[in-house]
Amino acid sequence: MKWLISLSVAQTALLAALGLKVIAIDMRTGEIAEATHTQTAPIETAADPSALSWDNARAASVTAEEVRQILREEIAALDKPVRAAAAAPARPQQTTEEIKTATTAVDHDINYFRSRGAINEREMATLQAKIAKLPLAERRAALSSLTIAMNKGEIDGWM
Amino acid sequence: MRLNRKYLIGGVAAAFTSTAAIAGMVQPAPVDVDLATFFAGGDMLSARYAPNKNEFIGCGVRKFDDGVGGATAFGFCQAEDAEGERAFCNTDNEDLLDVIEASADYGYVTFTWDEKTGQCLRIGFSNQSFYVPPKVGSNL
Repeated sequence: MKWLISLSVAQTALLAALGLKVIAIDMRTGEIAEATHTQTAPIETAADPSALSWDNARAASVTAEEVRQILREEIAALDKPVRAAAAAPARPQQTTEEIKTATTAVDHDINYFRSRGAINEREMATLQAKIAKLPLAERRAALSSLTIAMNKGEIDGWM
Repeated sequence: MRLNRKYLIGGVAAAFTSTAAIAGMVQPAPVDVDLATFFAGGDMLSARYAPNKNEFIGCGVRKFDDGVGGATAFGFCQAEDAEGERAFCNTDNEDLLDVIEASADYGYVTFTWDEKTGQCLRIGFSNQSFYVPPKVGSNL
C-alpha cells in the first residue's frame, strides 16, 4: 500500500514537471514566431519595392507620375478602336438636300408604277438600285412603300 | 381472252403500285397565301408544276456595291397561290438574309410579314427528300 502511495505521488510530480515544461516550450515558440515575422517583412519589401501588394500599396515608390502614365496607357488602349473605325473608308456623306431629292425620286417612281398598275423586271431592277442608294431609314421606308403597294395589288410584278 | 385482259390490267396496276412504293415519301405543298394571317408557304416544285398559271414562291437577295468596299443588301420573299392571292415582304435583317442565302433547290418556303411595313417577320426553308422531283436521278 505504501508503495502505491509513493508511486502515485511521484507520478503526479512528474506530470506537473512535464506540464510546466510544455508551457515553457509553447511560450518560447510564440516568441520565436513573432521575431521571425518582424524580421521577414522588411526583407520581402526590400527585395521588390515595386511589387504590387496590399502591404506596399501606400509605398512612396508609386508616384503620381507613374499613376499618370498608367492612365495614359489605359486611355490610349480605349482610344484605338475609335481611331480604327474613323480610319475606315466611310460612305460618302449625302447632304440632306441630296437625300431628299433621291427619296422624292424613288417615291415618284413608286407612285408612277402604282398609277400604271404594273412594273416589269428591268424597271424593278432600276428602282431597287435607286432604293439601295438611300440611307437606311429612307431605304426601309421606300421598300415598305413598294412592298405594301405590291401586297395590295396596286403594282403587278415581281421583285 | 377476257381473262387474259384482266390479268394484264392487274399486272400493269401492280407494276405501278410497286414503282410508287419504292419512290419514297412525297409531300407536295401547293402554295398557300393567307392575307388574313399574313402567311405564305409552299414548295417550289409544286408551285412550278402547278396546274395553273398563278402559283409561284421564292425568296431572293439583292446586293449593291456601296462604293467603299462593301455592299448594301436587302432580301425579299414573294408568293402567289392558285387563287391569285399574292404576298411580298422585304428585309435587311442580316440573319434573315443568311436564311435566304442558305436555301436550296426544291425546298419548302414559308414567310410571314408585317402588314404595315411589308417587312418579313419570319423566313423559313425546309429541304426535304419528299419535295425533290422524282426524275432528278437516283443513287440506287
